[in-house]
Amino acid sequence: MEKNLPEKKKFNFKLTDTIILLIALIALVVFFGFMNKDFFKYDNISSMLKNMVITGILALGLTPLMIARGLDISFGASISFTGVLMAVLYARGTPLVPTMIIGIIAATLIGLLNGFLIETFDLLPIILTLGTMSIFTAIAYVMSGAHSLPMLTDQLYYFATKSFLKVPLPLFLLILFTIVFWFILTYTKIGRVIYIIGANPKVANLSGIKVKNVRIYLYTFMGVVAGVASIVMVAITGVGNPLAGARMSLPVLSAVVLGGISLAGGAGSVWGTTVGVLIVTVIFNGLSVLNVPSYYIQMFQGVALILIVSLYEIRNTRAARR
Amino acid sequence: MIEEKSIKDNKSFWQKINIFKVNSISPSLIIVVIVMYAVFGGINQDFFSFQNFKGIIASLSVTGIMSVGLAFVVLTGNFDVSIGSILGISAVIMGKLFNVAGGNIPIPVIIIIGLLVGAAVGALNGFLVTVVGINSVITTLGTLAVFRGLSFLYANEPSLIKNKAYVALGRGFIAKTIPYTIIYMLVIFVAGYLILRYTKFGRDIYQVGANPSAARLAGISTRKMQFWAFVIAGVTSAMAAVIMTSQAAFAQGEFGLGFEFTILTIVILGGISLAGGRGTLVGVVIALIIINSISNGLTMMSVPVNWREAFNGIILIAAILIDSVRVKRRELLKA
Amino acid sequence: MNIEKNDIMLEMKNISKNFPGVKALDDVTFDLGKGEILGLLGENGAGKSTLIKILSGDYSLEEGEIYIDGEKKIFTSPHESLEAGIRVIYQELNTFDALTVAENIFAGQLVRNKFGIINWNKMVKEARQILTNLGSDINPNEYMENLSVGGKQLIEIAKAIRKKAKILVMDEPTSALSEKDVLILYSVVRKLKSEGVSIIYITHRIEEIFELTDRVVVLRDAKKVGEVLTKDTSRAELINMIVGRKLSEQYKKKDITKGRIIFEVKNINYLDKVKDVTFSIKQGEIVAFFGLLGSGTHTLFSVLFGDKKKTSGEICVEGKKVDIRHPFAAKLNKIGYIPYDRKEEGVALPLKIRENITATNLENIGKGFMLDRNIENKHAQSWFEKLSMKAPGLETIVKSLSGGNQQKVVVAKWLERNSKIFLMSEPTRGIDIGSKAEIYEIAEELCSQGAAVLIVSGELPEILSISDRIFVMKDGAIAGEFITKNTNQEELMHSATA
Repeated sequence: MEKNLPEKKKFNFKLTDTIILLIALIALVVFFGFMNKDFFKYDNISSMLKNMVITGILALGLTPLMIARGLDISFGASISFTGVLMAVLYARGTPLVPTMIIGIIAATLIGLLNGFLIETFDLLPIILTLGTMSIFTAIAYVMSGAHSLPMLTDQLYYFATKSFLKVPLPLFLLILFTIVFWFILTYTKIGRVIYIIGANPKVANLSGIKVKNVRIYLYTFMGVVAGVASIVMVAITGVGNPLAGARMSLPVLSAVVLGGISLAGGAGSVWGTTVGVLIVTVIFNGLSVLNVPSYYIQMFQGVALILIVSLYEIRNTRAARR
Repeated sequence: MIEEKSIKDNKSFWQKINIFKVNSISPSLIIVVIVMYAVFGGINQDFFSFQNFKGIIASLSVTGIMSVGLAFVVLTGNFDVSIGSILGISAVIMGKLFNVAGGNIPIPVIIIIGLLVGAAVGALNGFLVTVVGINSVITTLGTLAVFRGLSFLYANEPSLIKNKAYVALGRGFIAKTIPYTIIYMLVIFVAGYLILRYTKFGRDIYQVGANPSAARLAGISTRKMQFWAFVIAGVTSAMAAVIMTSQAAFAQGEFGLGFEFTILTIVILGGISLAGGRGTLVGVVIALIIINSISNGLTMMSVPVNWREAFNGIILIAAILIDSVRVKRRELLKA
Repeated sequence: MNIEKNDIMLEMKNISKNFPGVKALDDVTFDLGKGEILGLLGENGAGKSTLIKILSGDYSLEEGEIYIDGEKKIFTSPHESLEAGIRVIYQELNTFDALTVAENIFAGQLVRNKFGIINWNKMVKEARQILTNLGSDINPNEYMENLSVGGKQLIEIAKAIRKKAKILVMDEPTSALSEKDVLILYSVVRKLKSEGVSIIYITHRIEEIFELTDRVVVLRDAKKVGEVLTKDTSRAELINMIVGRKLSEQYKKKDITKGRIIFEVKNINYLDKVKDVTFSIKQGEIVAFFGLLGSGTHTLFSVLFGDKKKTSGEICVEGKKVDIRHPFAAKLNKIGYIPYDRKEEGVALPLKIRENITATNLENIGKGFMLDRNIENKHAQSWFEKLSMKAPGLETIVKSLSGGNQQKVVVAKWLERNSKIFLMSEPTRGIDIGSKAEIYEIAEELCSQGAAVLIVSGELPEILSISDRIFVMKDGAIAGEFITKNTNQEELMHSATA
């Protein structure tokens, strides 16, 4: 009986939650559309969707990692570093494809470094990745001399600006990522392993699952994802910018948490993340369409993160009392 | 009779300084300081110059005072990454107050308001962590964005502080050699040490961090202690704001930007365990000296500022690795 | 019972407590006289701990009333209970390992001077005095983490008695003490009684009841089932009250033919927690490991399963030497593990029965990367039926199951993996009597199909009724080997404590 304490119930992403989030999304869209007609213009929607691609890819990469109770906040630094690295290489005459491959390898190694250190030494992921974040941000600054380095290529320009059936090309990449992540988490063995680890890492370990190895793969994979996001960033902006990733952490984390992934791990789904990304994107785009200054937007991100997590916490405590 | 080996003080020198095995890591840190000074001094003679020491000392107090506050929070098993933004917002508000009402608001009133702002933000953090129950890193990541945003918004341009008496607080010297600011810092460190060592409040902080459920059973309110730790961190950040504004003679939105990182490094390197309940301010002082001297030494070796930041990241990682190995070793012995 | 009204120190009236899905206490009423030692008996899960936690203010009181010295009390926190003069020594240690012995003893009420400043010298001196009274020479300046389990338990006792308590609750205080320390504890308890302290003494060992107590209250399945004066009762009567049926009805072991040696362990060491353990086990055998808290039985199982890495030694499965560095390797070598802490280590509470059962065997469910839900359902369904789990279906969340059914899920996990060697750590802990018998039957069924079962248990009657052989451990080493039918509780306990 001694262990029968009323435990804190883990938040489970159910259909009802998705519906609530979808309603919120529609309400936001209607609100911003009502406030400013430009919101519904094709140009705005297409630029909003393009911006969503980077947030979305990162949030998707974070989804399995956070379900398995890992966390990475160094992805922003990884994007900046990889972007600058690619711009430097390209400027020195490296062809585009090898440049992109080297970029992705570099980002992957950062992910591997994070995962290796965290899992080998049982470090707190948030603190360790805070450390790697500062290291790679600094390196990006040094390499670029604190300037944006141009990296204009016809191929990336084409990818960033053209559309197919009026849908911007980068969006197809996000859709592809979404489907792949959804498939992996739902239908494969590794997907199941991720949920088991999230539900209880100790139990997973004692069931003969190599928890540490799985998590190292997930951190490494997060690195790959950051590398891809960096390429999209370079394609859209045309530069390798040492500041590019710095402001990504809050919106991405907010999107993931909003999508129902508890910081305690164990719960969450690709669909939740997708809706979370949509909401975050609409809010921030809507605010800038309304000409809200960027400082307000930054503050709003903080308030939003706190509010979202508070709501979940209050809900969870209520559920536990019942 | 239960037989326990009583502590014998005949440990070898190596045993006393083995950072992974001892309860206090201060002796090992002191050796790091000595080695480091030998290296820097060897490379550049000027490192030992009086001017340079004065420079190191003057730069200590802001980070030093904030380290004390953060140590309280980490001891209870939480984090606060918003301390830099608390410094920012309270500096900006004080800067504005010097420029309203014809600059006639008395200095003590302004300082008290500044400290209250720090306390209020700390209380907000504490409320969100203890009452609402949000993870402290996420909470303070949120408040960091909010208050950094607010201080930028409120002070796009620096507000100048022309009050001579106030500026003297930060720039004055005793006997032309010892800066006032180092005195403030020492007072805060000694006060912090005494509180943590000799008051019920301080010991309760340790007990809550060391074992929250045992602390509860001993009749200690864990929530209350965690809450007050955040308030203390807020107040010390505001004190740092007072020093920084008086040294600079102006206030600006970006004051304290990124400080949380350095200070977290100092606190962890100083042996305040991320697991809570372990470590003392003695270690933190030594770590403070180490970090500031490194940054100073690297400057003298003309290392660019960005490399120095990368170096900070490496030290942070080294510090948490040491902490983690110490924790693991203890668990191994316990099992 | 035979106590004058004004001699009553504590009354707990009609106490009930519900946890989600479980009635932990059902209308329990008892009283405690001044200077009386009351024995509280009951199996694991009978409700003793819950009762104590209500008295200590750790759990909130939902139904019922508490009177202390005739005054009605409502405790909302441990603090208020402490204020009322109640001290509890919990079975699980609640120590501050990072702090010193002296600070642990005075936790929550540190020695201060008249300005409220902590007086460390005085505190250390007083701590040394208290420890001397307890017959110990532990250094008050020593860090708690450097003490043995027995030493920590003694500090817990020192903590509880440092200030004169009105009511002292001791929850199995002797579970980690050596025989010598137990005698010291007895004298301390008697001394406190003579000073007028009222004591509630919880224990598993019935001999302690006769040694110390004046009166006994027995709980079973959340209800009070008996209350007798110690001098008017007998061992047999108490056991009957505890288990609720005649001793003759206790579990009867079946005879199973033994096969070849399946599991051999040679000179296993793990730091100084497991020392030179060597044994071998045949197919069809149930072998029990018994030892006091801290004797190394649980650690031994963790090492055998690869959850902790052995420092030296050899493990052979079916005659072949195997290298077990991780539970994954144990799994490949047909070793299954039923951990001590079922809810934290055995089952993943938020997941479904199906997902828990197949967690060990995902490699074999579907080809390549793909998970085949049809195969999974078929596998899980077959164990669900074979172990007759009581649940609506495979999709039931494990958290909502009873302890017994959760344990069946853990067993099913390893059956799914076709394990042949089962390491069971306290497999019947916190499980009701009916389910206990089922778990025993499952263990025997496994054995009759050629498996071997190793059990760690602290309950001697359980060990004596289901095992073939018993190893007693002490200080990490095997202190004795016994054939179950030739031994008895006294002999085993002596071997474990001598």
